[in-house]
Amino acid sequence: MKSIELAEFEELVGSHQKMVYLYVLALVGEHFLAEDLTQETFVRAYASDPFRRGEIEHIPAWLRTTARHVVYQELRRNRRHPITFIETIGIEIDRLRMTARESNDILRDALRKCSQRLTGKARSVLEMRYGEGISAIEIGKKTGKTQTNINAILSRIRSGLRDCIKMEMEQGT
Amino acid sequence: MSGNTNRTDDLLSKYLDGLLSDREAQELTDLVGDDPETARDAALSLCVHASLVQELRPAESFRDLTPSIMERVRARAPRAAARRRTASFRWGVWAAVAACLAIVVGSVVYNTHQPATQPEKIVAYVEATSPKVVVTRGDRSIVAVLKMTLEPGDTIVTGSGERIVLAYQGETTRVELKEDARLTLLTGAPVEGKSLRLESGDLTASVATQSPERPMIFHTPHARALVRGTVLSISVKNTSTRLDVTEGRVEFAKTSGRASIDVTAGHYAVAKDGTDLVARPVPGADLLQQLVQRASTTRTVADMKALKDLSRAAYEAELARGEKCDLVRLVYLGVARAIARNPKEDRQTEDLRFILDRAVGEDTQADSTAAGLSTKDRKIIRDNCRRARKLAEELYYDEWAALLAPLQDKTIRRLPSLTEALLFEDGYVTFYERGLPRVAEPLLEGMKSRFGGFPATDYLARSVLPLVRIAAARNRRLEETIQFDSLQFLSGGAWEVRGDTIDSEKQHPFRSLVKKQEDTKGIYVAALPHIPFRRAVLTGQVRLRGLGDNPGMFPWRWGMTGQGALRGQGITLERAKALETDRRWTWFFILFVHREDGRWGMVRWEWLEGDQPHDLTTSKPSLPPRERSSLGAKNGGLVSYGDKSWDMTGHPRIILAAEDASVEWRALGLHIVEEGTEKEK
Repeated sequence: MKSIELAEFEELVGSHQKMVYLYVLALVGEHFLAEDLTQETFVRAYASDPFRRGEIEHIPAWLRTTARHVVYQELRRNRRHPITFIETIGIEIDRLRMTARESNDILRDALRKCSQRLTGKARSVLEMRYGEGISAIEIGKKTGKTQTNINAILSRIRSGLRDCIKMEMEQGT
Repeated sequence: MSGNTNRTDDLLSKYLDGLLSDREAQELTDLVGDDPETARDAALSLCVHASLVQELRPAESFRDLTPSIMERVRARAPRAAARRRTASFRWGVWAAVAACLAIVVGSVVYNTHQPATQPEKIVAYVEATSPKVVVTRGDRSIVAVLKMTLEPGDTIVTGSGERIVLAYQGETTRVELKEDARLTLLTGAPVEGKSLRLESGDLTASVATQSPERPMIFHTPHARALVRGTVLSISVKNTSTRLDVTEGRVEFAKTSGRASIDVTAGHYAVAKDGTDLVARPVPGADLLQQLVQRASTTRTVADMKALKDLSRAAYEAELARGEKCDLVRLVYLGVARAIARNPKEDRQTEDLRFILDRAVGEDTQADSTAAGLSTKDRKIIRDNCRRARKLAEELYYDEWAALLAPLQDKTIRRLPSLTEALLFEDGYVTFYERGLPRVAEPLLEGMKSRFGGFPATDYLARSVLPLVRIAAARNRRLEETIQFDSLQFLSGGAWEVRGDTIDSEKQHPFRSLVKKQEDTKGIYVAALPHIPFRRAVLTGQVRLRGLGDNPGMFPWRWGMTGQGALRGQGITLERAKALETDRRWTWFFILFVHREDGRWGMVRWEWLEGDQPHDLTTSKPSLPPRERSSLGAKNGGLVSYGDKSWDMTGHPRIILAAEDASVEWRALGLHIVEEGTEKEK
């Protein structure tokens, strides 16, 4: 039984931070908040029980659970997000993950496949919003639309992608 | 269902854009709570959002969080390592585990991931500073501010009367650079530990335990000192460097040679060309040790009196050295001096410097814990130190002011955390009470230049009000939005400025009673000696606009009150006298007290028309010609104006307006300690 070294832990952080970040991002939606909470998750992980007991197989689940609790805690503290909604969604996201683990890359492949079906305009809006990180207002200025229009477009794109991915995943499984 | 889905999508979009209102949040919660299918769709939508971020965002825009995380982990590492002392872990399979971790994508690693061998970063920051201390970074000169992170290569230069306190993240190490000094942060590389170069001037340092392989090193032009955890002071002159060690042990060596000596607690050494390094006992150190020992175990008043001679001897020894006391010594001296309590001595110690740092309390308590003292003894030490701090706070007002200077322009919303960072326990209240007389001197100067000889509000705003804000925030007696534009403070004694003179000694809290109101040109605050509470803070701001013959807006003025008495739940003023009646509609004063029942109460309003005062609680003076109205107060806290009334309890601000005229009044802090709850010292 040997205790974890900082270098080993650093390696772990490097390997898994994006996974935790994306998980947190899915919950809170905000990039900077997701980064902060990802950091907090790993800081807590360093002194965690699974690490102490060396239960490697439980580490991923534990990381995710820790992240979820970190999110809940932060949201309760700040009252900026609907915590009950997040709690409900957190459970669903975990269930989704369980499904996705059966065929690891289905979700990613489905997303790529569905993205190809988007129109050029929709893809352009998506690229600006996610790729360039431009706000809806700015996108509106560039495209001559209102912020409400852009938000509606983004909402339609996301729901369209979701339905498409859902279908793809069902076919995949 | 479709309608629900569309609505859910809309709300989710708002959620992701941070635009969700509380009501919409509840709606969204209800939607996903009522229908599992909706909940699943919502979860998938959020995953799609995250996937889009990952797919479309350029890889280089993902910030590598590893350095930040590791920095925080390292700060906690000793504690965590202790908890994991018996733990073990198999790390060889982490790569395989990683593949199973993916929620959305699977095993994706950051392109910018740093190698595991990244060195630990030493982070120094500014914990306290005088207002104009300059940090030179490369070609730039930056004014040091609180919490400013310092970088290797930064050079800090203090001017006359300035000082700065540096701290290191994750530990209790503090370095205080005194006036007219120059200090450079060296590489800070972990393999070398913390490293500073003192070019000139003095510093004191309280260094937390350092790794044996990585001691903290102080370089000077003449010597270097290797520290692994101690309290020391270093003084650099033109041709020599002197090291004084208060606690622990320091390895001291000349720059020009390899030989080193150990300087232990209570000793000093001087590095100078042409002389050998020798550790010598600090004169008076033994006395100090005795004093500390005695003071720490003092239990009765008789014991305390017996310490007087000893404390005087130790104090004189300190003065004889002609050097400034370091933190710990000053605390201990403060204990003794609080016991001896000789006001004349207080004056003589003005050249001493005191670090107002929470470390005072922590160090002292840590010492007593380490010494294996009982809880009771530790409490005695703590009480002694608290007493010492109170005394020191009064003596070292300037340092307090320097610490508080950054608060001036902050909103009250931010004050509590700053308060926590800067102050400890109830020190600010003590300072506020005891430090105020010393404010009077510069205030007097301000009076001459502003408002025709009346108090300079800007000075008050700069120097004293932050303290009131802090007290108010701490006591949660004021709303966050309140604006302070004026204040007065009143202790159980009296505070008085007459003309151009002030006798602050006489104004020492709890010493004297009411002074006569002879000169109305200055500030005057009188106590209400018959009121059975010990101290009260009062008053409001008056801003008159367009009233009667008033030519315009008066920034503010404030009056005084006479003697009064608190009887039962109410207050009756036995006598009141108005001041400064040269203008119509000018004077207006109000006294608020915190009543015995815990509520705020208004004692009295008075309105002066010409020379004639009107008691607004009983009369209805003629108000602005265009709007004959009435002001009145009844039931302690209820203010009426015309047919409107306000319960002032819990309302810090009120504006009485009539078309183009207005009277604006703002309540300020009021804190009353009932007599007998705190013994006079």
